[in-house]
This record gives sequence, structure tokens and C-alpha cells, in this order.
Amino acid sequence: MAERSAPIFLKYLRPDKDFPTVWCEGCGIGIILGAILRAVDGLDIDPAQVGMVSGIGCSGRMPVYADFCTMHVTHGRALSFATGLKMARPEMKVMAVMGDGDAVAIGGNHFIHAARRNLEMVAVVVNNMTYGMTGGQFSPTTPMGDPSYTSAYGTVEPAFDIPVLAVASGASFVARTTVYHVMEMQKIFARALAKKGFSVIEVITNCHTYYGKMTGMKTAVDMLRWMKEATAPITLAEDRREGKMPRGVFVDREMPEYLESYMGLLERAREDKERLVAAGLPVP
Amino acid sequence: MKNESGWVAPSTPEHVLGLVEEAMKDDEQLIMLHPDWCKSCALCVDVCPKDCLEMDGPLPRLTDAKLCTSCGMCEYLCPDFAIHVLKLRWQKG
Amino acid sequence: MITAENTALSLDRFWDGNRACAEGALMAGLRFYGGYPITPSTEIAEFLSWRLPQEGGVFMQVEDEIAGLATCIGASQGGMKAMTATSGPGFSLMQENIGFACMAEIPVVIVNVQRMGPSTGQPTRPAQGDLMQAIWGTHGDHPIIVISPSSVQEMMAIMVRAFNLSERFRTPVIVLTDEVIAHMRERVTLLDPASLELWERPTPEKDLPYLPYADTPSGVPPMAAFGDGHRYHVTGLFHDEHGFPVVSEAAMDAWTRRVFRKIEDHLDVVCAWEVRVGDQVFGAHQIDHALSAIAACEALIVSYGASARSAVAAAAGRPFATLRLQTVWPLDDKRLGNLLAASRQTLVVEMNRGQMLREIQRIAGGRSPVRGVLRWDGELVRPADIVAEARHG
Repeated sequence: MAERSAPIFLKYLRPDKDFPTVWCEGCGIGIILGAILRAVDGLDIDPAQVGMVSGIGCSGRMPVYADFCTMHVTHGRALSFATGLKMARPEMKVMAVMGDGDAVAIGGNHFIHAARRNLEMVAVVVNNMTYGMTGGQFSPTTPMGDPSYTSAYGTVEPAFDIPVLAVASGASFVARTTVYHVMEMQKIFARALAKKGFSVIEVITNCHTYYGKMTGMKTAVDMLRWMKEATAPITLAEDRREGKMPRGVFVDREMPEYLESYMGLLERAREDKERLVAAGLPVP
Repeated sequence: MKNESGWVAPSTPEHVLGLVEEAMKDDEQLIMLHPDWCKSCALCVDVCPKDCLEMDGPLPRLTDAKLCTSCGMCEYLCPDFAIHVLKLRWQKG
Repeated sequence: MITAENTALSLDRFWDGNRACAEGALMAGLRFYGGYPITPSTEIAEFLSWRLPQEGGVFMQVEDEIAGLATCIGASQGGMKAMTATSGPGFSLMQENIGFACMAEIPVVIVNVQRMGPSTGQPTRPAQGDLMQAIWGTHGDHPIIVISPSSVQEMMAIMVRAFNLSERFRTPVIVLTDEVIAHMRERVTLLDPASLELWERPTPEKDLPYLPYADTPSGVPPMAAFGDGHRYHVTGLFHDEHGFPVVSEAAMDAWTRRVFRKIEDHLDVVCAWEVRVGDQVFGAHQIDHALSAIAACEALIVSYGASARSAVAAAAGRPFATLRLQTVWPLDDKRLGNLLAASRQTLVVEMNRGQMLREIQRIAGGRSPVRGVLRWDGELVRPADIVAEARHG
């Protein structure tokens, strides 16, 4: 059944910002932005109640294009700024968009604590296995042995498995997808935005300009074909995945959500103060 | 507004939205491209399940309108919001 | 005898500086604290951990000082008055985000309870070694306001001033105190809410187009809180009036000039100090009256923070004038220069190797001799040492 559908998500792009975007041709970050906007559109929420906070790097350039309340903060600290914003404005939908370096290198500490705290928020990790903005150095998610501009002889350290890190840290919704798998990505974003808890979505993205060029995948097309071949649904049993990287929803569980717990604390504090005042004791 | 190749050239989202809504009034037109935003990455060409897009110089071109099913994959995969499917065939779920 | 009745009626408390800091901040409208414990500031967090929720605010103990300041800035962007408290090692960690608050012009208050440094230093002993860091610790040319209390009562009142300046000028404000003020107990009187003047950040009209970084006569653009209806972009990159990143020399030059102008054009509001000669007290606006009094004295003793207590003790009963700086940055070069020029000799008293001393020497410009009475071993400067330097130095 055909439906007329205007690209209404265009409404969520800043009307006065110059396009085309700053990213390289074929860069998956633009695909992620589109998926986020479509997912937000599905929420039917006032864009002025949506917050998007990014760190530093190519993915950090995303929020300026989105017509929400947007912040482009210091490297690795997006989750912390987003935490403060969410606590000040609990009714806002808050997203943090980070690169692999931003989220699990310099931002690693904030990543694990935000997951542990489980404050309602959507953390998108744009994983292109490189530090693109600075010209292609390796990151904690660069596969071991791969060359880069700071690993001419190949890296000698293993890479993080981001969903595993997020699950271990306590996040309540954890997923991995790729920019090739756009429909899956949109559905995962929609679920994460509706989840009452801390969601981590790793999106494998193509940096053919640096990572791909150094590993034999010189174009966006090459890299997206690789994503299709190199990943398999997590719903398949492990022995049927042929050693491919699992994608899909790793965990969707109920954990105590931080705001809800804090509201309980506020109630206890309020009662305590009332008790003091009723007893004629000074506050402070 | 259309130039002689049939394409339009906007530069802000506000402008594009108006052009798309205008293009939707034409029942014959299946997709719309705005060349100012296209960076020639060819992801749309590669992902089309019906292989009905090809690169014509720097821009993609619909080769055979009868093949297009309006699935929307070219639009979803475009990183630059440069191509739009005007009558989207949705499969829910 | 203390009863519930007469305790509740009294406005007097016997508090240490850290408690006074916490309560002063609450009276100023603090509603978000994000921070990490560190000696000798920890008690500020401990008090706020139960006082802020009592007042309906948010207290968060986060994973490190970097997150501490970042959560505060995020909360301030959401419209809450926010602060963090720390000491040297944590203050060093916060420098990058202080710069972010300067660049994005987001109000926030940072309390640095100074201890000996560098590095781990001596956590339980006072120093004033972070002055230049408070001013220049974050990279790049940036304006900032740094203020310093000298008593527990002033610690409470200065928090109101800190938030007021932060809101009005859309800037981070650093309250530079030290372990002496933080841990000493003095009798304080609670501030009277009815007579408190609280300044709020200027806000834009709700239904009109809004440029978040447009120039205004004061140099301070109105600031819309996220969630109140206006959507805009905040970034640490150089940006234009829309908040969009720019690279043109003209735009970056314009921004730099405006943010310095927004504070430097208002030194009469920002700069506070007190000149004492005998029983007479002259505020920053009474400089002309102070000049002749200073000229008649043997020496002018310049100081700030806990060291001002040493200065005042040294001056008691002697023909010495004291200049106690409450605002330690920016410095009103012109008016301070006149004060210094009137003095026969100037001594600068501080617990460091001479950070304010260099500034005072610069401002005096050779018009009167300026020397330091300095100490950096974890003890207050002795009044006797100040007297000796004044008379025999």
C-alpha cells in the first residue's frame, strides 16, 4: 500500500543552516542523523523538548544541523553535560552523540558511570574505528593489527566490544547496528527513545577517507558492503554466526532509573525538613 | 524550480521542503534530487534493490521509472538528504 | 538555656566556612550541585548532599571533577543556578570545562578551597597558590571573575555575589577561598532573604526570533534556557550570533572583543575592595576619600582571602592602611593605580610566591615601592612579619 510521504524529517533540520553538510562524501554520520530525525519524528514531540549533546570529532558536528536544543561540548564529556541538562529538565528527551574515541577513550569514565547510573538518556556511539577529525589515528575500537596514522606497523592492542562494556556497566538498553542496516537502526533508535533508562546504541559507521583507505575499502560503497558481510543478527545462535560481529539488541532490561530514584530521595528530604520545621527546629 | 536537466538547486532545508512538497503534486515524478547537496557517493545506486539508479556524471539518475518500487532505501541511505522518494511504499512492522 | 523556641528565632549560627558557603549558595538560589569530594572542600558537598534535596534541588556526586563541572554547566544551560566545589588537583582537572563555560557564556560558580600545591601537595594546609591559575588556567584569551572572602560571614555573603555576577555577565565565577576560611568557625548571621538582591540571567522574549550570541549594549546576550521554547546551538568553537561555528577573522575578533568588553566595561560593578585606615572604611566607590588617608600612613598593606586577616591584625593600632581585595580578578588598574600612587610604600601579603604581588607591582608602575610579605609553607603570614617588613624591610 503506497502512502504519500513528504520527507517531513526535513523539518528537523535547522532551516537557516548552510547545507551540504561538512562531512566527506558518503560518510555514514549523515545516515545516522537521518535515522535519528525519523525516530524523533515518530515520537511526536515538540523539538524544543529534545536535547542533543555531542563531543568532539566528526560526529560532534552532527547537532548543529538538527533543529533541537543542541550542544557541542568538550571531548569525551557529552554524557556529563547531558546528565546535568536532563536533571535540570527531566521532561526533555536527551541524546548524547559521540564518536568511538569520544565515548570509550577519553570519555570512558563517563561512559561507564552514565551506564551504571542509568539516567534516562540515549547514548549513540558513532563507531568508525578511527579518529577521523584528526586525520585517521587508531582508536580503542580499531581491530588489533590494523594500520593507522599512529600505528604504521599495526596496533598491538585489542579493541573494545562496546555493547559488552555497556551491558557490564549497567545500561538498560544496549544495541549495535550499522549504517548499512538503516531500517534496523531506525527501529532501534525508536525503542531507545521510548526506553526509560540509559540506552547505548553503537552504530558501525564508515570512514572510508581514513580507516577504509588504509584497510582496502576506499569508498563508502566498499565499506557498507563490508558491514553487510561482516555482521550477523544477534538472534542467530553464536555457532551459526560464522564468527561475524553480532548486531541487534543485546539487552533490554528494567534497572532502577536514576531520576525516579532521585524523586524518591527528594520526597524523603522534603519530609525530613517538614519534620524539623514542625518541631520548631531551625532549617538551616 | 527546475533547470533544463529537470533538477532543482536549493541550499537550505526550508527551501528544499517547499520544493519537495511542490514535486509531490506531480503524479509522474517518483524521486526528487537536489544536486547542491549530493556529494556523488553513489550509495543510493549501490543499495537500490531494483538497480534502477545509475550515476550520470556526478549525480544519480533514475534509469527506468517502471522498475522503481518507491521502497525508500535510496533516501534512507543518502547521508546528505539529497534524494527523496515522493510516494513511499511502507511496510509496517 | 537553648530551647527549640529560642533557637528557631535566632539568626546566628556557629559555622565553618564550608557550611557558610553551602548555605550562602542556597540563599543565592543554587539548585544544582555536581562534584567530587576533595580536602579541604569536601564538607561543602556533604552539607549540600542533604540541604539541596531539602530545598528541592539536585545534588550529584559524580565520577570525577571533570564530570562535576560538566554536569553543572549542563544544568545551567537547562536554567538552574549551578555550582561545584573543589581544591587544587580537582581545579586543575576542571580547567578545560571552565574554558567551555567562558566560550559558551554559561553562568556557573566554581569554589576552589585552596590547599598547598603543586600536585597532591598538602591537603590540609592553606595556600593561595592558585590565583594565576584561576585567572589563566584555561587556555586562550578569556575574561573571568575571581572573588575571595576573608571571613566566614563573608564566605556566606560572597556566594550571593558570585551567583549574581555569574548570571548578570553570563560567565563562570571562581570563588577563591582557602583551608583557613573553610575550616575555621565563626559566628555568622543568616542573610535576610527579604533584603537579598538576586540577579538573574537576562532572558529573551519567548515568541520573537532569538539570536543567542547577538551583541547588546551591555555586551551580554540574553540567554534562553533549553526547554523553555527556544532552540539553538551551543558550541565551544568560535561562533557567530546564531551559535553556528565560524572561521572568519572578523567574526572571531568580534566575539573576543565583545566578551572582554562585557566585563571590562563594568568594572564599577565587578570590582569590590575595602580600604581601612584606623576606624575608617572606604569602599571601592569612595576612592577619593581614601587617597589622603592612605598618604598619611606609613604603609599600605594589600591582601585578600585569609591573608587579609593577617594584614588587618598587623594594621591594628598602627598607622598602616589596608587594601583588602574582594575581587581579585579583574583588577581595576586605573583606580587601584591611583590608590597605590598615594601610598608611601606598599606591601602585598599572600600565601604564595608572589602572584598578586606581581600584579600590584605592575599596576603601581614604579610610582611607589611595592614589596611582598609572602609565605608558602602552609601557615598564615604572621602579623609581626608584616610589621617588620614595613618598618625595617
